[in-house]
Amino acid sequence: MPKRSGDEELMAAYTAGDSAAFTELFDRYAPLLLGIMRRRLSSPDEAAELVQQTFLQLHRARGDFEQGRKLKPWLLTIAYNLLREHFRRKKRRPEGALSEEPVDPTERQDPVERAQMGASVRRALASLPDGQREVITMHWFEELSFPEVAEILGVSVSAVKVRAHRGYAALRIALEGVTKGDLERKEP
Amino acid sequence: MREHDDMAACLALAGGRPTAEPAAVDLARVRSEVDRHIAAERGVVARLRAAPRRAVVVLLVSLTLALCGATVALSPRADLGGLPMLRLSLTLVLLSSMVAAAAWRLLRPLHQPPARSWSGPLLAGLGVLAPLGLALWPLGDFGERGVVGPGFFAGCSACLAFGGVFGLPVALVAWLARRAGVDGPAIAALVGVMGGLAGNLVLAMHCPSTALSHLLVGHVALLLPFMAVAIARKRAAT
Repeated sequence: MPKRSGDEELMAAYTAGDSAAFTELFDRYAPLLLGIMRRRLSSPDEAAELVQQTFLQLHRARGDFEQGRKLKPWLLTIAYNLLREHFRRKKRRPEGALSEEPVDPTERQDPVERAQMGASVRRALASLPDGQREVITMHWFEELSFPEVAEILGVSVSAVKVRAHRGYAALRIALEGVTKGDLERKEP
Repeated sequence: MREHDDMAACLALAGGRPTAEPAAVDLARVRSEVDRHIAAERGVVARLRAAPRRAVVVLLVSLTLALCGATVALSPRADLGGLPMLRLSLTLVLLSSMVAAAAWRLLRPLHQPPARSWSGPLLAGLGVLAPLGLALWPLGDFGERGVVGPGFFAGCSACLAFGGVFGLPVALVAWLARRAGVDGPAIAALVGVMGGLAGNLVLAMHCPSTALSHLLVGHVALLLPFMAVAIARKRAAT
């Protein structure tokens, strides 16, 4: 099978019945989706389940994919809607803004202190209103552009930028003292 | 710029940029589960779920009107020929339009951003108000409102059963056409709204009673058990 580079070409091929195209789409997007889910869910099993559901919904909605659209925000919108439903059923907010990241052993800073600062930042992120937290998480951690975030959330790009600006402002207040300068001062 | 650097440093503390492969989840196992679910997607229901939303809405409205047509053919109200054309037209257009609107919201695809949270309850409310408004619409020279008499509850029960039987296929198709059980009970209630509205439309073609009490208890009230069952099914599934 000749290598295809475009996600949209792959989606068109899958819609036409090419199952190998689905394999390639899965290989491309499953790690990203899993990262999104793991960043919001403490249970790997729940994260895996939601990734499964996302691809199942992609399969069911394949006939709806319009030529000319970008696949990534289309697929991520499905994932975020499933995530939203997951939290609605459990009637709770995301389980911490981010999962725990392993401490880099090459860092010269005290790892315990670094982990504590990381926890402070995560708590601050979790305290933001849903709209601001989602925008910052999508843009910063999932590397989605503002237009992509806007498409997934169904709001204007300017609304996304306003939420990001307000979220950053709230984080700065919440994290007063946890700054790069503090990190530098603590290095030997 | 320094503020951006500080914020970047803070957010990097929270978890940095996404890594390529999060640990502790076997993607091969996820893939095999996906394949298993997709392989199970066969038959009429799978085709219904994969159909575009517009096509399913047309199907539901067509089914509603077909059931209405079957009632006219097999068991019409005795005074159907004398029913004011405006009343008849408005009943058909209003109730079938509400079925379409409820179906459109119910079947909103996951690849679209979430709808406004009030859209489901609003449509459910309008779905109840539509047949209520038609029942309260002044009769003019056509028929009389009448009073509650012997056999009231038997008559209402018969209409509820008749409307329920004809509304059930519409509710069932709407339920099966949902791709994922997302959104809350208010959205699930739209399944019941559709079944109840279809039943009301059929009853409008079948039942000659113009008594307000009968219309409220025997026709409009049909929506309540449909919506209650839909909500209960949704809760049981979650």
